[in-house]
Amino acid sequence: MPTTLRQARMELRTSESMKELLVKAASLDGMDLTAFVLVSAIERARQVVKDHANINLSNQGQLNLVQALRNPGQPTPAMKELMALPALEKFDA
Amino acid sequence: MTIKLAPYDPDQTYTGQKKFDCGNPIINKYVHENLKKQAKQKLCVAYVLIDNADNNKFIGFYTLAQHSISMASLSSLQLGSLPRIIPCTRLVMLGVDNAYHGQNLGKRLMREALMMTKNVANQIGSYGMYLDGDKDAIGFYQNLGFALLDGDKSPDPSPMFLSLAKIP
Repeated sequence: MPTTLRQARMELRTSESMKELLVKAASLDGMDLTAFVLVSAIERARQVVKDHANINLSNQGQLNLVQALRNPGQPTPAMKELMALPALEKFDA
Repeated sequence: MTIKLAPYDPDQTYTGQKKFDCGNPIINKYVHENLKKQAKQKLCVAYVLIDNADNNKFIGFYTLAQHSISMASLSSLQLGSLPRIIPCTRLVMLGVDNAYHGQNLGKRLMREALMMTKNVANQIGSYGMYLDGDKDAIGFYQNLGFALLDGDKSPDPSPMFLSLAKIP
């Protein structure tokens, strides 16, 4: 993120030893401390946000899903009964 | 009828939300601690059942989110005409307060969630509903036509799927 405008501010507290480690690692990587902490955190944040919308199934799970989609069959009696229940009244503010 | 369904507004305080008890500790914790945050971040949409007769009390809810299932480990032959990414609507959570059990409210919330899934599919495209079934609810969902995707994982939640064709 070298040329991004940095207008928002974040502060964090940590222990002396953790800070030392971060400073050391940042200088080994040739970055200033802020850039080092941000790059690592952003990478992790992107992954978490991406994974949030993803569902991962086992190989067998994926095969079973193909089956469920190819040969879905008819709605079950319990489903028909449930869908025939009266709609809930909607709240109009 | 004094019980009504409304879109959940994270900026509103609902009577009884902190004391919501549907008998399932995971769902209770979600309602007490996570629902507001998740709805604020727009990570999901929630609908809440409120009791008009009791100070608009929070008595039930469901949350939906749009997700996709990766079919990355299948060959093109196994996939056939299906895409490698299957968009679906996920039922994240659904619950009704113990004090209101026995009125079919859970089923009627489920009905609303299924109607919405159908609408989403018609308007944007989706293959059905995905959920992680709780051990006590697997039978209920199977009766409705949900397929266990990876067997019964109890006591862990079990991935389940309902194809759109099974919603009348």
